[in-house]
Amino acid sequence: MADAKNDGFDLTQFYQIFFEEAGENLEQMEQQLLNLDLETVDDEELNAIFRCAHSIKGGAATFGFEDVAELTHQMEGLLDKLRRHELKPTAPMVDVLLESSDALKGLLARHQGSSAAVPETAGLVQRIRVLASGAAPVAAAPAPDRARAP
Amino acid sequence: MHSILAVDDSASMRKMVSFTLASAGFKVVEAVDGVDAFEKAEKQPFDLVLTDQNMPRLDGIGLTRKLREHPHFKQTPILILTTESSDQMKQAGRAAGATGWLVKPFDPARLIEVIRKVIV
Repeated sequence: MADAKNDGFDLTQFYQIFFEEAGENLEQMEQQLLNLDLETVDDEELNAIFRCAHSIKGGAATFGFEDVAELTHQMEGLLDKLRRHELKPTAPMVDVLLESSDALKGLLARHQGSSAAVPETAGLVQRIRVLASGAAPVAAAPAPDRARAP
Repeated sequence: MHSILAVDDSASMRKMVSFTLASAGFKVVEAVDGVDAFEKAEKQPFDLVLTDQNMPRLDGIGLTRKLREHPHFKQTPILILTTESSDQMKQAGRAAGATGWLVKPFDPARLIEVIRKVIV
């Protein structure tokens, strides 16, 4: 649950802007991930995806949405390694980022009161950590059916 | 009244920072990224610049570097407010000419306290 007060500052007045902004960032991130060509991916594409996760994380941490901040923090860590060329992007990475994007939508919907469902994120966090460590990917849960660009 | 240029590509963060600073009696001008900020800085001087680091087009360190080359901003306090907290990034910020480095999520009271200490 978010802490609505911070030293007398009522943060709830910024929630709606944050939710709209986070939704836009998730849409952008999803489109960019779906359009990613793993053979020709360039730095600007990775930087743009990183910025989406980074922006959501910053807002979520500030406004007290800890579950959103934690998942985006893990995504950001993986994306940071990709944009620094410490890791090469792979299909399992794209898959877990897309699944995380779906989970974030669920978490945000719950915080907005439009859904009571609690998305599962512990497994996603674990998979992202393994992928970010450079180890072989663990078995993924069945992913949503998505059309990815070649 | 002291004027502050508040730079962040995130609308929610920008509004919150703006609200915090305005509540403390500062006049605030907002910019959505480093390019927008530099354009605004060329048109008028500010008493302090508070900028995010990760932004499209021009990031906080890039903005700091550009502002330090501008005659009106050689001595102006520039604070970078970001979730980035690595020593490497802080060092890059200092090398670019930043006055200080503040980490998000921020405590509004602490932010005001720091700004009051460094503002000319």
